[in-house]
Amino acid sequence: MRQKSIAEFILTITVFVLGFTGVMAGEIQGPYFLDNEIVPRDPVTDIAVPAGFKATVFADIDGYARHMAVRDDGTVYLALTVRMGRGSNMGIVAMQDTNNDGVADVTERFATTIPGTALQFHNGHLYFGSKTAIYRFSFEGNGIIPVGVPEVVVDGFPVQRLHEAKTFAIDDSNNLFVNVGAPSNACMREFRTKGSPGQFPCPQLDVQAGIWRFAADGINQTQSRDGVQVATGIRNAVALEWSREHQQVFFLTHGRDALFSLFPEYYTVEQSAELPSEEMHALREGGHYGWPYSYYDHIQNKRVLAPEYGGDGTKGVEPGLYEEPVSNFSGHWAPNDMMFYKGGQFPEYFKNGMFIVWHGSWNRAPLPQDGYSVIFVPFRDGVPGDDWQYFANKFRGGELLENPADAVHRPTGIAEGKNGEIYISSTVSGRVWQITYSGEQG
Amino acid sequence: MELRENKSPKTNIHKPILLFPMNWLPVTGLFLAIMLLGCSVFNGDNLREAQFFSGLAVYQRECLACHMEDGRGVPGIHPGLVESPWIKGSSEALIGYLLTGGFGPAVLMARFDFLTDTEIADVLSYSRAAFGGGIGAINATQVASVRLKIR
Repeated sequence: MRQKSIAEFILTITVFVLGFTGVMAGEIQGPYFLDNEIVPRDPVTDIAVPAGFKATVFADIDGYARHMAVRDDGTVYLALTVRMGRGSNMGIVAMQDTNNDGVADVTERFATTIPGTALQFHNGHLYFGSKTAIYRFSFEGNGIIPVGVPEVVVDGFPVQRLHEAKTFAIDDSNNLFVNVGAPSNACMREFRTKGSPGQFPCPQLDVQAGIWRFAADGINQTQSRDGVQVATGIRNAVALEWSREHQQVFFLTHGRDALFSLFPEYYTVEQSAELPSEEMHALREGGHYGWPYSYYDHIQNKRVLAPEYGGDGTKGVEPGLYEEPVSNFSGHWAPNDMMFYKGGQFPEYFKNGMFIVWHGSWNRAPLPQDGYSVIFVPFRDGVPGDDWQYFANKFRGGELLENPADAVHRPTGIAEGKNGEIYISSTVSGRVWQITYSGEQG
Repeated sequence: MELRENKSPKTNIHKPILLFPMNWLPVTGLFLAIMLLGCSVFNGDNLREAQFFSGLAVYQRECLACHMEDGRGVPGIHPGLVESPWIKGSSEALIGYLLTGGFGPAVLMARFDFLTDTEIADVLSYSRAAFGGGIGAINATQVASVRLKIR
């Protein structure tokens, strides 16, 4: 009897694997399509990029790498954090490639006592988002290390262990938008406990799970005194960016976990692996983006009531209550950064389109983990197309990944260099790649 | 010389006979490993073998999503069971931990007191067999007595 059920289980898993391969084969092919089936993983860089592009290992940094920013002179800055017991160094690394061979030959560190994720240049200052504050650094002349002590732009965000990265975007009107992540999975009365109902209203929405606005040139602001809550119901928008071309702030969210393990009566393992969508939104002031009361389901193509709040996996929500995503992606891929390509080096096709960096999943077991890639989403008239394609892949190493611990690299940050080249960083390995376009095939 | 002549041009012919796509390998390997483990740990002991497989079923339903199929957890998010001091510690402490929940580096583990005594005994026995070097199975009576104490 036992043998029979094992045989059945093997069969089920086999069906999953076949289904998974089928999904991969169904991608739409853009002009710079990266075919994961045939493009090999480069043994030197450990990644694969489309034909005509070239990757180099720009630097291998000892630390848990996060986002990057590039100064006008081409200096690349990389944030390092320590989180959940991981990471050996903190602060910011400044890197320069003085002989233009795609490899950094000057590497310096500063702010080595502050762990942080977000980095961006604005009016000559380097803004740095730590776990509870936004700082800014000032430079003198061509010095790659800032002078003096950093100014505190905003302080006083709640201390939290989960979703603590204060990522931000700065628009052209002196607005600084800061992501304050939710401290929980789905605001249950008891954390991740089977059968525990959701809190209503969810008190975490008061100071977390939303986007707050500050003055980008302000100093010593606090969230409670100076912050304006411009959007709520956002679980964690690590990828948050202002697009000058589209005059719009966009963000991607990390969707909730554990639909099957908390609500096996409503979800199968496969649904739980694929749902909810990782949502892409255009920020609208005053918008409610649905967490924790609902989530977006890209299979049914609708917003669904969360099971903690009376949902059963199919029940929808009242139309108009929550914002609709402008695009959505497979569950648990973990969007950790995104960027609009502004440069002139890559083909015209890439101009003003969006690169998304997926850190990769843990919550798809027992199905293979997925994400672990950089994709490109073309934009037309300010709207993301469905014809996205892989741009860089094979970061994880093996073909099938069961446990994220086995991933060799997990991409997390992206930035554009002064000549239109791009940089990609990896958390677990501390590696930074430079990707350039030459147009030469093969 | 003969060997060499036989070899080179014929490799294509062997390709269609590959019944086993390479990307199934880890999945199938894991199942073989679990079955082999089951056989070697229990050595024909029917009662404990039954407990191993019902424990595996509970594990797949309740634990796998966080602690992963291989019991190594997710680094920095969910602690691994392999080499966990709880798995190797006293049965009472382990049962108590499952009934009341606890802290990880980033997230809380929920309490699993909604499982029956037998389910808890099975899943802990499975976890010890699979990830803790096979030390000490747990039975439902032990679980019942810890449950009483906690109340």
